[in-house]
Amino acid sequence: MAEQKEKAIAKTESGSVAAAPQNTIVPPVDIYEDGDAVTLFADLPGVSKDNLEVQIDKDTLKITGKRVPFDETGSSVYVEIPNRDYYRSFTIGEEIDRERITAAMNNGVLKLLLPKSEKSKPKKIEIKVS
Amino acid sequence: MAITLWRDRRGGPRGLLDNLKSEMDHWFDDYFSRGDDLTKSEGFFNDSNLANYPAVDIMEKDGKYIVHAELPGMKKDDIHVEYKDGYVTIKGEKKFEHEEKKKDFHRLERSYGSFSRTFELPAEIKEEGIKAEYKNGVLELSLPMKDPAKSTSKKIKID
Repeated sequence: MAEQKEKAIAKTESGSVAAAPQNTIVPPVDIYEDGDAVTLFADLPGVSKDNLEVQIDKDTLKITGKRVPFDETGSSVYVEIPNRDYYRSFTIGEEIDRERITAAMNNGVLKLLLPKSEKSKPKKIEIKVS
Repeated sequence: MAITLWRDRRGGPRGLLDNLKSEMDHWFDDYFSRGDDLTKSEGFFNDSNLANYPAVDIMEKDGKYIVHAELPGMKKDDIHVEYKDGYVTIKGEKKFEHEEKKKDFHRLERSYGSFSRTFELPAEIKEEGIKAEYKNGVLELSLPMKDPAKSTSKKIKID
């Protein structure tokens, strides 16, 4: 069972930046795992539900967030926030059930729930005492 | 200089890895066993160094200062904005959402804990007209100037 868990870990860890489109920011994420699912939180301030795209392509999960466009009509006094969109991709393992992946966007935070398929979950074997 | 074999008391590089692993385990245990002190970020998320103060943009438009602060995942009530004597302070605390100790972490990149950021605006502000809005994880402040004609931004002519 320990082996299986490690496999899931290895596959969700790579955030491939090489394939990122030009000029994007990599959002920070928190990734948790328990027996039922892998949960991911990503900080995407300035992105609304309509400007968010989550794509699954075989074993690659891609998150693209477009910022609410900056108001260019004012004059900037001080700028720290980069005017760039967000992009990050991950590799997900076969134990994730693609059909049941859910995404929710709240106050600039994306919560992705990646449930594991039933057959990949560790099963308790009942021991009957005769 | 002669090269000597690296050995720690457990013997060899393997011992070093075990040591690191047990240290990490202890660290995680400590962090999570704090009960409701979870929100007090001491130790790893040592926010007294303000590594996670919000990124801020200040813009001048139509006789107002518009301030944007990136604060994703906050509850509106946990953000406090103060204006005093020309200084604007944005502060609050981002609470750790997951108190479940059963889950394993693969990555913990987002920042948590208390933050506070104070800055001074170039012109005097009409305090009654200050507005604040929190949308899509961005706090937007609108601070009207007392005397918009005295706006500090000048257009510089290029000869």
